[in-house]
Amino acid sequence: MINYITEIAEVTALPLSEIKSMTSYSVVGGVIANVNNYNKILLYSSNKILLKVKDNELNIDGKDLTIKQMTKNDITIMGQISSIYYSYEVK
Amino acid sequence: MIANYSKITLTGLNLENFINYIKEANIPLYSVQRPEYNVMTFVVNKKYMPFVREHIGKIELVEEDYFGLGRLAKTMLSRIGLVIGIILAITATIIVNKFTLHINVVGNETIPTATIITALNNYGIHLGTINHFNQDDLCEYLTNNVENISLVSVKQIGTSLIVNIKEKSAVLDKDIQAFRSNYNMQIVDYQIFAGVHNLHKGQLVKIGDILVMPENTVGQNGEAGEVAPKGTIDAIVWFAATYTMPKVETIAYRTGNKIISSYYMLNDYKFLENAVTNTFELFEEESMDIIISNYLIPLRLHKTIYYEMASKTIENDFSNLKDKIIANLHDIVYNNVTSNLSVQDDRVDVIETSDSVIVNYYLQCSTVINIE
Repeated sequence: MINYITEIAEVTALPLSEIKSMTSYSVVGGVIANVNNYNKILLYSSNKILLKVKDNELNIDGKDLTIKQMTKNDITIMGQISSIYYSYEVK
Repeated sequence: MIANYSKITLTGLNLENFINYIKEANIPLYSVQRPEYNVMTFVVNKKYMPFVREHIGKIELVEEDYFGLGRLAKTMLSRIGLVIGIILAITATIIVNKFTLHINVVGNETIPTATIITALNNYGIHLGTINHFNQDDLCEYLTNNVENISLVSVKQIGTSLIVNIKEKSAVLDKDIQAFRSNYNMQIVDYQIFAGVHNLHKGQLVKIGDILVMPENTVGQNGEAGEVAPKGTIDAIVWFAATYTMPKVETIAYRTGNKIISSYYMLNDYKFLENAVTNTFELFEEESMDIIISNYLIPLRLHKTIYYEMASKTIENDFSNLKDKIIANLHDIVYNNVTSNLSVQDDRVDVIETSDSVIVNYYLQCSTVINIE
């Protein structure tokens, strides 16, 4: 992930520290979602997980969703993920 | 793996707030599940449990061991029979491993294995018993008490005692002959353990050809010498016998007429001489001295006999003589077959020329030649 963030910083010419503090998520094969820099869990059910992120909310919809691991900044979700989207338009 | 983890089941409302509080305390949570709206389960390291319990509030909490030493100990205590079985099995394995159930002697070529085992028994090592020995002491004992051992190592692996022998090099000799072929043969395969050779598979060799030369070497005391050739050679050996029968031949024979000329000798005195002139054109001559008395009187009779000879031409009929010729050739080639040869095939070739018939009898055998 660090290399990935570093590459993005190089491509976009944005400061690395700023990109690291931004919320990012990645989905692997539609069954694993990893979210970095989330603030807290607003809602957790088997078909929806709502995360509070910086100035927004991140919706993860699907079936049989479980939180495989959660630490202070990262959360890994497994299940049949159908969509991930922000609640508000990103400014 | 050995860390202790607890599986927590929470029952209550606003459970998201509680796990958010825990994660803000930098406590990692695993396998967070929400089977019902008021139930949540997760796994957390047992060392964080005091913090979790301290901030649980009104939420009902049930804790159970997930995995780690604590879970293992709890499982084992609930299956005391299994624990006893494991302890007994380990104890039995440890005890059995102290016995010597096999003795493997390796590296010995000339020293019989039985000799080594006898030496081990004399040292006090026996099969089926628990043997305590000092490796260095045992190695020294074997080296000193078994002839032709140069080096030895002993190692007990499980229930096997492995004795690795390094024998002394062959006795040096300065008058070792090269090993030569006793047959006309073709080499099929070979394994040469000592000696210098230039053999190759398929090579044809004749009787007397050198197969393996002695190998120059230096003895343990620095003296120069040679090591006798040693090895085995697999070969195909051939024997052949030939008979040439002329179709027409001239033979000489005695007609039966003869002329005898004789005289007696007493010391150097010749008497009673019957000198007859040989009138035969073709003849064979035989002379003989016959001692009449060897004790009283030195009397000798000298006789010369002339046999009249004649010649005639005959035609040989091969069809009548064929079986006899082949039987004779068969006897000639099979006389060469010794106990170390096994007959593979024999063949008769008849070649007819303008003036003769040539019969060749071939015999093919296989053999394994031990070079010692």
